[in-house]
Amino acid sequence: MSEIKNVSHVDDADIDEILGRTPPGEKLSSLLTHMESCNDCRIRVERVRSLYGALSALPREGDVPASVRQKLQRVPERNSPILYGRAMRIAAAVALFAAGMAAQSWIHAIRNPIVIEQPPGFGANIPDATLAVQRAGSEYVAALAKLNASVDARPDDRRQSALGREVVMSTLLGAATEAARNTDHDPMAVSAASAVRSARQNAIDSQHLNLRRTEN
Amino acid sequence: MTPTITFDELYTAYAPRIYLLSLRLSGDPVQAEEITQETFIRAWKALPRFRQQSSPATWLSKIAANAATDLSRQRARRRQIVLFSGELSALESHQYDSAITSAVPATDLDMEQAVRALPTGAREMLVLHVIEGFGYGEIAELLGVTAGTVKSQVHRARTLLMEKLNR
Repeated sequence: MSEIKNVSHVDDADIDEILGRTPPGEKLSSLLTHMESCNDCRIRVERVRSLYGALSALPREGDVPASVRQKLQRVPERNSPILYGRAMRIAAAVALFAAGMAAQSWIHAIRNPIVIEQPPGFGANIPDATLAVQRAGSEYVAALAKLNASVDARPDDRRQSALGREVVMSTLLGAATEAARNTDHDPMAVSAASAVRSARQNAIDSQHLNLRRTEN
Repeated sequence: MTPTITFDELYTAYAPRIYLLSLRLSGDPVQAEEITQETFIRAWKALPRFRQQSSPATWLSKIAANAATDLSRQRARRRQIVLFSGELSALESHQYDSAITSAVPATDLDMEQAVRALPTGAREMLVLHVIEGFGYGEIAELLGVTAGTVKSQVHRARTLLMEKLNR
């Protein structure tokens, strides 16, 4: 690398230093002196300075699609003091409610879309609980919708629909397990995961039994 | 201390900023929506512990960067089973064009497109460093990498950008 006035041409780290992106080091003054006599380095630094200026001038705010707020619509609108521990316990209880409701609905009404609702008496002022239901429920509902579409498309494919049900149930199990993982101090959440796991296994056993009968 | 800000106030004040940051970090409007949503969910949970040592915007931007990293990893795992990635990329590109066009003035579109075309890691670090103003050390801490990695990715990004934009 060529040198002018005992200093190498500026490298990327030097440019950061010259532009104040990193703390000034011992050689900053010699770099600046070098640039006075080196046109290439001056141009190089100015190109980066210009690029950074253009990037910094980009807008910082953009129009948010309405769908983003809609997905968060169950979050409370009013000011509400948050009691974190209580919120997590209620979230676990709601997760249990959602899991139980979803499992029952899956077993008894596989073709009907599941709607995860808040349990009676549950106020909308605990954001954690609401969001826990939203997240656990939405993945399950999406998986169920895909299954229903698949079953509608191939009503006679029993093996495929059994597999699909297992996938859907696994999704629900994942949501319940996540709730238990987040609130492992709460026996209700752990019970929820355990209940869904048992329901899933029973369902799989039942499916296998039905399939064997069909094949025989 | 009990928080006195409502979720709606938090969202109204900062969602436009967080959404555009998310769009730049991910380069994908669908992911940007997910990141924005996840950011506000995490922020609402963490609000009681927010000590206001930084501005809410900075605090939320850090949460968004973390959420973007987490969601990107999740998506990477899911993508392993997606067979139509070429078609998806074309679709995502079209969606991004629509989203960014409605978010920024036409004069900035070339720059936004060039940033979006950067490799993912380089793009994220450039956005956080130059547009959002985070230091190399802060980004390293946020993304769980070394400061040296951040520097080299930012340097790579700016070289690629200058080539792309003929600057």
